[in-house]
Amino acid sequence: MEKFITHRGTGVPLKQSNVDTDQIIPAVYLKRITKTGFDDALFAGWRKNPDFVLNQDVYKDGSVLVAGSDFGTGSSREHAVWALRDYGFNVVISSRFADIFRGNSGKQGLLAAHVDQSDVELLWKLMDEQPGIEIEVNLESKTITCDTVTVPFQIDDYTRWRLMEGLDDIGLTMQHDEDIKAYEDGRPAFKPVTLPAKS
Amino acid sequence: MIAPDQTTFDYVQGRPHAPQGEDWDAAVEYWNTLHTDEGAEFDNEVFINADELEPFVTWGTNPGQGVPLSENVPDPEDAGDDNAKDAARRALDYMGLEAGTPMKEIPVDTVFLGSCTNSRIEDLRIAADIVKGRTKADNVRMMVVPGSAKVRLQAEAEGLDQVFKDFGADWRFAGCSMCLGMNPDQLAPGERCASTSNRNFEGRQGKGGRTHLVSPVVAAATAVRGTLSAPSDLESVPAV
Repeated sequence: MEKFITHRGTGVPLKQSNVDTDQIIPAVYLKRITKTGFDDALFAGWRKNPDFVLNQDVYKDGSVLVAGSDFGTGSSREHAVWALRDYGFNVVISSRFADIFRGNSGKQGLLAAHVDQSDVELLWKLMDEQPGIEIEVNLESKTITCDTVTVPFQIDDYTRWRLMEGLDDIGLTMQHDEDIKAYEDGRPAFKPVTLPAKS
Repeated sequence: MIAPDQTTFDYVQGRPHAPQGEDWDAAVEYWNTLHTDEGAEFDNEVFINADELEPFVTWGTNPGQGVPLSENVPDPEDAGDDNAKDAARRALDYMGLEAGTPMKEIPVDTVFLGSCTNSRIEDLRIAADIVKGRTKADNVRMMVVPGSAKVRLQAEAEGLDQVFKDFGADWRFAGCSMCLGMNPDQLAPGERCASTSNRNFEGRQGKGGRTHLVSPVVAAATAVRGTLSAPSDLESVPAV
């Protein structure tokens, strides 16, 4: 996973609350057995509408999504994050994220930046005034800058550290190989175990 | 999360993959430590008297947009903040509903009794009990999809499959089916469905499909009457 320190890219206003994972990626696309190539699936239903924000030239190369509250609710599909990443989004900004979506984001290198709703509306206003304006997100200082405005965002320290180090779950786990083995040797037999794949 | 108690242990014991013998005793001893600490403080406490609840159904496009079955489609203007009002207006537009319509007067095209959420053997038994001896509404198609292969085999051993087939429903193999429409079990645009799954987002069961989340007993009663219904709305089955 790539390290995330700062990102600057075109902001895309998605002025809707409760954007659930069925909208982010409809279930029919989940049959694919790859982890990449979901860019065409992102918002597949809405993209059939020519007025949808990503169908406007000025936004189609956007990489910072600014959405309404309760983003990522519904079915807990990792594909929702993959689709956003594959399309080209590095950051989603919202005043409230569904917990599982936020968890999946941190594990896949997508920054879920939590801001006050008034700041979401401020960013929307700036984007309305200057469509295609770039937004800079700094994970080190936990700030979002657009035009002359800078607003803070929240993210838990652990996810921030992981993103800045570029560590996914496997990368993290492999750092503790010896400890894991020692722990497994002393674990009660009634608890579940993970067996190595048969070769 | 709910602390496990004797009811939980009785349910788990003897099932596939449950610990056995000494391992079982060790597991129960450990599970018994998983309770709320004395004097714990909660952010919020909610008390619900289940005796006073009637079936809930959804009118909108997320599971929170629901009302008791005897009520009407709510007015978006009564929803909390501007955001909620906007979401409610959008939901009614998508669902093709008007505020004030009694929920029980909403006709459905399809009844989906299935999904891992609400297709346990207990669910199929109670639904079969309702449709037995009754006739399905002509304008409704009904799919019954057991929650697992184990549930399907148990239901067939009890003859529930025949009850559903006699009623006029499709009896299917276990699978996700119309819960999320990954396979061809999908709604057509505008088609309305009473579904025992737990997601009613836009397009979840097929592009343009309209989903009302219901319980298994409401699904069964709805298949009889053709509009959203509770078992108490049904005429009694004539004695044979």
